[in-house]
Amino acid sequence: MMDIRMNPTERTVLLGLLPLLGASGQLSVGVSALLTCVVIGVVTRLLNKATVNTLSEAMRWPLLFAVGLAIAFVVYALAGFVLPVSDRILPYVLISGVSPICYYGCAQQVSTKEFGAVLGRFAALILAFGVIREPLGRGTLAGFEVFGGGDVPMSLMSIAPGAFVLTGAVLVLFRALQMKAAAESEGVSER
Amino acid sequence: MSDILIGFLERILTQNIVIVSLLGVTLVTVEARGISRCVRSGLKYMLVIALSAFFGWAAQAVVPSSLEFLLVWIFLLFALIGIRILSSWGELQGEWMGLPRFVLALGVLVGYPVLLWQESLSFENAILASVGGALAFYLAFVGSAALREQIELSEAHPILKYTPVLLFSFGVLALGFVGFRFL
Repeated sequence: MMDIRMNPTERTVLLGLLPLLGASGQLSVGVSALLTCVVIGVVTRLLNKATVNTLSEAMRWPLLFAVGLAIAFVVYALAGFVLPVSDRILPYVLISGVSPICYYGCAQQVSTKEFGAVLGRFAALILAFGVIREPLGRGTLAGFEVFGGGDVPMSLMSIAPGAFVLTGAVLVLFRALQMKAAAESEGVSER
Repeated sequence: MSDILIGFLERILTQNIVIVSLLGVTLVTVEARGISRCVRSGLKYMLVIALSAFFGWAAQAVVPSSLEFLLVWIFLLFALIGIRILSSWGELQGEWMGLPRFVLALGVLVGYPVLLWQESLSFENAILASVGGALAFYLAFVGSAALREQIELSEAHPILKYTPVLLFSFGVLALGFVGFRFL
């Protein structure tokens, strides 16, 4: 039987689980976290390539994390001024700077194409989560009221339980799609 | 109930660093395998989380406000020392998706001091938060290992097995924990 436990979406979710759950409650925070992860990913990949032959593992990884946190700190400080974000979830932009997805480009045998695909999937997921969670959990989208009259249809979506259930549902959906595609391709090959 | 006990229970339940604050969720989801192993290794993580949180608070109390921007790197330094200690105890060895396994622990070891930084805690509250947060992690770590064992034994459809069920379970647990907000 095929292994559906580690499809590309599931890998991406596990790599970026912390920003996906923590920073997607508001679209603007999700965008800030996404920007953090992409910039850190690109900069640390380049830095890793430049230092892989000159620095030992024990020196290189702390350097990559320090640079990653510096980028996250800049985005965190700017986001607080520029965007209408909640103080409760803004720290997740900073904490996203130590998420495994930021450093996936420095992993062994990960090509630029594969890293780009992971970041692309992560971008799609975090934006989709923000578009679903913010209107349902806060009644707004990017700070603008969606339902009028300050209605909040499902406030649970803005906090941890909603984030967990939505992430679980997304994994189930992608596993089901993968199983369906595998069943169809088996049917074609049998014919 | 005394304020100290209420604060302690809040750290374990309504502000649980894995289930509610989501910090150690990657580490717990990936590393919590086998209850008997997790009961022992969870104690090691617990000690390191408590120490990194407390030293993070101490650094925050000592560093002048003009140099506050340096705190994140100080938190990172404590986290890396914590990871070195965990590695010497046999934890976080090897690789995960091509990355060194210790990357999984950074979220909680850097993230928890960052969250505590947002609150202005007194000395006793800092101790309470450090110990309470670490205990909350331990409960989530062992609980997650127990859940995973049950998931492995169950005859659930493969679409639901492992990560999705674990995340749904965390969602239900989070709902239960958030329900203690009346404290």
